[in-house]
Amino acid sequence: MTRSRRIKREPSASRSDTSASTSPERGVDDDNDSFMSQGNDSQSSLAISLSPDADDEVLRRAIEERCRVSPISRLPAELMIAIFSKLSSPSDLKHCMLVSRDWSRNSVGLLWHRPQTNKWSSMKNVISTVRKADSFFEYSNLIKRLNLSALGTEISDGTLQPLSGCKRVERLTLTGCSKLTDLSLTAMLTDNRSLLALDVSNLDSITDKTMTAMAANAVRLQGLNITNCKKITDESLEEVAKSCRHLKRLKLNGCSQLTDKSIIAFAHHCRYILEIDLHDCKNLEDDSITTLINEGPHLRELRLAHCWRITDHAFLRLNPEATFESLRILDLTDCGELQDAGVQKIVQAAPRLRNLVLAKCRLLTDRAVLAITRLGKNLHYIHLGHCSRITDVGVGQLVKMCNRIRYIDLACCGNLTDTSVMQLATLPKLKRIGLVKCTNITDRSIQALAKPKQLGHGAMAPVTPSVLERVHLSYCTNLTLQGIHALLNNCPRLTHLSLTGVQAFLREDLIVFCREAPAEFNEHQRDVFCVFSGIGVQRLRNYLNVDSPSLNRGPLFDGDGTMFDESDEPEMMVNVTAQANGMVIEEDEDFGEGSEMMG
Amino acid sequence: MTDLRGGMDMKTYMGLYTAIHNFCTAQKAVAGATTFSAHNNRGGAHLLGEDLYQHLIEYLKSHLQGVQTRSRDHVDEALLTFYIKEWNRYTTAGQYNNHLFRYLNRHWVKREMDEGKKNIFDIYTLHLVRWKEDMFIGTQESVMRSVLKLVEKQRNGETIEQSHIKSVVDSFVSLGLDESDSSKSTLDVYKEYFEKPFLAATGEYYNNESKQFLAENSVVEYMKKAEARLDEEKDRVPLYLLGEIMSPLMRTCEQSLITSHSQALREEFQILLDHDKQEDLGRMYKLLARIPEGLDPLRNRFETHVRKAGLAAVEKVAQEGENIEPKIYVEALLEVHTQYQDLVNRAFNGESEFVRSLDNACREFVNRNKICKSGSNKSPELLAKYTDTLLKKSSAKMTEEDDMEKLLTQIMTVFKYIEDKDVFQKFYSRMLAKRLVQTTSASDDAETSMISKLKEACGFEYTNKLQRMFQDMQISKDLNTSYKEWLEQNLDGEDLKKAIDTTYHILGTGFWPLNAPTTPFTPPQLIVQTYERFARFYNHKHQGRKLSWLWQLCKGEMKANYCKVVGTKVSPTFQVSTYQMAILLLFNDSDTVTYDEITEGTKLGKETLDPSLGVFIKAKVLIASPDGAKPESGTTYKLNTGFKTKKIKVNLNIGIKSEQKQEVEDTHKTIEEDRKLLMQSAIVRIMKSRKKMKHQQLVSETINQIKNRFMPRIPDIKKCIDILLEKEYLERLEGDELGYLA
Amino acid sequence: MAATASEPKKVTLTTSDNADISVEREVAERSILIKNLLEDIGDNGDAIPIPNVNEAVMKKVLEWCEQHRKDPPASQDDDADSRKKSTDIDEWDQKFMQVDQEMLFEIILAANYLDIKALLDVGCKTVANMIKGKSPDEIRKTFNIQNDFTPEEEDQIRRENEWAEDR
Repeated sequence: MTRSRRIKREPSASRSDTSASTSPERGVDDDNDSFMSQGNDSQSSLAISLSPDADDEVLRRAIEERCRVSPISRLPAELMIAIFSKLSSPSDLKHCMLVSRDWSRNSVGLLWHRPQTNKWSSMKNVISTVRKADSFFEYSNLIKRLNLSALGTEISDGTLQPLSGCKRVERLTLTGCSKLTDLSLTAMLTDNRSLLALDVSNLDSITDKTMTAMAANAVRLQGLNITNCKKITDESLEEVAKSCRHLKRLKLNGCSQLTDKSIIAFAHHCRYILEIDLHDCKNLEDDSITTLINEGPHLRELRLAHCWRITDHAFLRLNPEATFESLRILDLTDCGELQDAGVQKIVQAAPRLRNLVLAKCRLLTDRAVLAITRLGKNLHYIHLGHCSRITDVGVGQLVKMCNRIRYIDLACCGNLTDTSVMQLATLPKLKRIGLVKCTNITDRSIQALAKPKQLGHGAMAPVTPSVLERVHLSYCTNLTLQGIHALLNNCPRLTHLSLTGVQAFLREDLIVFCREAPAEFNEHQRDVFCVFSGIGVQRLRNYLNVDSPSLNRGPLFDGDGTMFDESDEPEMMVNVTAQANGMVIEEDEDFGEGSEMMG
Repeated sequence: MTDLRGGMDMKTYMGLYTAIHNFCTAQKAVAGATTFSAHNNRGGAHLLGEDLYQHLIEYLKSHLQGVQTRSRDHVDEALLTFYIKEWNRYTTAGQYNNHLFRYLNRHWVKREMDEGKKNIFDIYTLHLVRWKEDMFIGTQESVMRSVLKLVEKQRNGETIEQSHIKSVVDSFVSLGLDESDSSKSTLDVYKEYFEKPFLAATGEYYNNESKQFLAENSVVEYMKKAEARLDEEKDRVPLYLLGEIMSPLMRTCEQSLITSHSQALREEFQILLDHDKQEDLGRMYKLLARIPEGLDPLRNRFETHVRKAGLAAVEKVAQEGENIEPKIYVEALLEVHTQYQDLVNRAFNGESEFVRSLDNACREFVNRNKICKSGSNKSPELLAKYTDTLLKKSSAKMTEEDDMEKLLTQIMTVFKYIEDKDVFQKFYSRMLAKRLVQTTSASDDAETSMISKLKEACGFEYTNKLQRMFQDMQISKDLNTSYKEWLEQNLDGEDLKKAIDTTYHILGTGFWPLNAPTTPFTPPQLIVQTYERFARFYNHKHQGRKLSWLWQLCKGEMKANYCKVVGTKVSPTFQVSTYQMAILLLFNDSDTVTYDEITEGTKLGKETLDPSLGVFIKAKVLIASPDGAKPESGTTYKLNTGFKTKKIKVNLNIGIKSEQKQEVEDTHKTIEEDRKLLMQSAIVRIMKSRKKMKHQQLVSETINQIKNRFMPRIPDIKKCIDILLEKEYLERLEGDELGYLA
Repeated sequence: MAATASEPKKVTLTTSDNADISVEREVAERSILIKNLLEDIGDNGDAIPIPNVNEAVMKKVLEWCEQHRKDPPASQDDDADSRKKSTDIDEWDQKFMQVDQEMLFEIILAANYLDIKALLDVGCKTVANMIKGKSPDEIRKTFNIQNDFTPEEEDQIRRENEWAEDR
């Protein structure tokens, strides 16, 4: 580069003379204490290097003249960049590029930071500009972010290959560009040492070659999403673990060939892991999980759904003295071997768990639930669907100890009765409740859910309407219209209500408000399907209140209470199956506390 | 560095800042003035500052070279003093420079870092990086050597200047820079260059010390020493180390002080147990609890020890054989439990694993000991009997309420260990029934308390019948009251006077463990009249209910008008069973009655009649003729009109030994039958919910469901499954599977 | 101001044209440069030389500082926010920035030199708003900039950046 020797003085440079002359003016130059004064000398010598010579005088005048005519010319490059960075539209930036050489140099980096690639026409233009040998700027080095997922399957190796000269791309998002192969990806990754995040989820033809190329180059990598890249094996991921030590977020779900080997390598080498998703990595065993937790002091989110081989030992073998304060989210859906002892250990080792998913861990009993109660106020989200052994005793205790629960699912817990639901109804922040196939429950439960909450004790305590948003009651066959009507009228925020298979609702006049059954449902499933959502809920409510005279009656309770202030804590909800959870790799700001509501 | 503060004035400060600012913003003028060359500028925007940055690096390097050279003149504490002084000077200057170079930090440095350039740091971090490269690497070894020497001195009891070490720790920590984010620091440098050598030195020190100490002292003394050393190291951390070192430091000390000698410690355990040295045991527990798996061998030994103690205690009281007093037996069990529970609480911190060992041992010796030779059901039987003696109105001392509660709690302690809880239930309910019917219960409160304890331990089902029995008694009380009212309304004065004063208990058939009388019986006319009247009343109140009379449980009082209590003018009252009453009433008609006449008159079976007569003979109420004749045809009985007694009430209703023994056997027999039913219903319940199940699974699930009642034997369960297959509740499916037939 | 019971601490600033301006320390410390200086050296009562800013500009800058004296200090992560590119400016600041271009850029330069991030931000936003929606030619006119591209160069840049349109 050519910058160096053209350091000249600007109009105000005379002031650096001042600085040079003032700096050594210190009375006694005590040598024992000379560090700072030497520093000053060093400064002054730098300043002297700027000293004027004859030629500069001409130049100086020219500059002064220019600044007089066009005051904006006084701003140094960093300020012009600061101004341009306030412009959000690419066309404004393009116009700046066309103003003058100076302007174009300071705006081109911002414009090309993240070129538009959501349309095929822009994509083509970007590619042809990057390929040009004598382009005005070296655009390829300016691109920091590339996201081709909008074009998906239209993207082929032929599209990506020309962009392989962009060696300073920091985020490369190729979600669903399933035609891509190792060919273009290795070219893209080779010699790129800037990469921070790579998302190649659902690129099912890529193999270890791509990962090896990445491991050899992307030393700064922080986020990696290789969801469903089924051809990738331990072999390449071990290399990735060894060289990409700054990894924070890893999504490896559906990489069905992986075993403990690669996961343990990640645990040993990547000490900054915050999130790891291993959903459907069915070969994993206890060792990898124990090591991940033991070695990862920052681990915040661990998803292990359908990792069938995991047993209690994964947790019982954790370092007995350590607690893992960072762990907030643990998904163990369908880890069928898990038993009460495992859950007890989990709760003891990770006392600040916020989300705990234990759906289909069928061996669990009330003992596990009682252990979970020790999470107390930290627990916001709990899924115990298909844990059919739990009873009212466990649920009662859970409600008592964990009153910040916002989300609870107890589907198919056949032992539960109205007693449980009446307890659950007292949770002040409950937004979502799942009771599918809890066949014992009756309208009494629903009445309880509908009842406004009393905050605090005593008759004078303020009353607030229910904050329930989503209620799942499919196959609760005892329910009748009356209960649901009360629920509708007392839960102003209700947006989802499922009643599939509940006979009382399979009526012509009600089913019109129900949403369409999913396409993959068979005849019978369609017959019993009954889900109201969004506007459907509202229309059902109106119909029952106005249009259906036989049911016409006012709300059970006066809904005009104080609104509950929930600003004290941010919401955090994550959906049950990671499959549907579109997590993006996002790594330069710390894990957000922001809400993500899914159902 | 206050001299630095004094040495810098505002003019200098502003001058320096401004010079740097102007240097960095000067480029603008340059670029605008030269002819624009596309090829030179294809990279886009460019900021100035690199030269300045490089110059600073050069300067820092040369400064640090000087410092390092001078450091070689010092060793030990003097070296530490020098190192710390230079470090403080340097970092203070670094903070100043960081402000003076702020413009460089804000723009050029930031942009370089955003671009991902390696080895570009903000100015303060740059100072640290240079110190690490140009000073630390060359001196850390000798600095650490001095630190470790100092610590060893302190361990040997000398006083040292702790702040030196603290400053060194702080400086090492500051040098740990996070590669990925220079604003964060890591402990990498500290761990590698401080913690590692520190721990190594610690381990070595204590390895040597502990070996030597144990060679010269007893294990008990050694434990005190180790405890003191561990405390000392723990206290050292907050004085001058990083809190983070606590865990690895403790591990290291534990390795040297405990793990290395755990074998020796454990060998001492049995000796301490044998001598009941609670304090030393507690110390050993605390030490071994610190190391992984340190306590497992102790728990095993403890369990064995307690079991042996329990067995020995039973052995000691078992000399009386089968007829052992229930109280003595239960107290023997309790004493062992109490002693070791106390030990667990005091010495072993009440730790749940030790509690479990204690429980295991107790369960073992409670159910399998010398008394239980014939089977584990002896213990529940004795426990139930002991409970009965407590709850019965005892002629001796009435137990205080508080004591009673305590005793009942103790019973529950033993009860917890009983495996055959159904046996206890059977005996308990029979004895409860008796207490209630015979109104020999000492206190309702105590009874309720006991039932609620059992309910708490075993659930509603277990105590359901007991509670119903209680209720029946209450209902009967009300019934008798209203019967009295009814009598007064419905009888004329004459009849009322003649009527016998009676009390009735109406007992629900399903809830009481009582059987119909085993003997035929014709009640005397007088009683027939009375009970028929009551039956009329009852049928009027509850139509369609059938009343059966349990004559064997009835009793009455009769006044013997033919004689007087010695020294008074009062006739004595005989307390008798209804059977006895029927016999005596025969003597109202004639002073002499033959055996055959009695048989004819009462219709009582021989096995009931004979012992009843026996009581009268023994008490000299009747006199057999010929004298000493057996109760058989031909014997004649004469009322002893010369009967003498000092008591106003004479109890002739004495239980009969053989009956009691029979009862015990009956109870055991019904238990067997009940168990079969319990197992069968459990199996049906399981199959009903699962529909299909492997044979093996079904067996274990069944055990699971009923083991809190009794420990079922697998062959018994298999037998029950076979019965259910035969009855077509279940069917065999392919493989080893069974199916449920609705 | 004089009426307040405990006199607020004041400092004196000496501008490049040798004017002394007395100002409350709290106001002056909106400038991180001055804040650091006072913390590093201590307030010995000496006037603080500000060699890069003249009296007129300094007064204007201090007017802004006075208005924003109670604003919460910018957090470390503010950089992340600035990426949101919002060009919203609050009303007072908009009025404040209604000055000729000469003064506008002097304020920006001074804010940059004195390290007053929020003021620099407002300045940049103001300039950005002057650019928004304008053609290259209009921009050049607004700021009196000479087009130093050859027609070929201009055409080349236009073609190379054709993709950059509003979404």
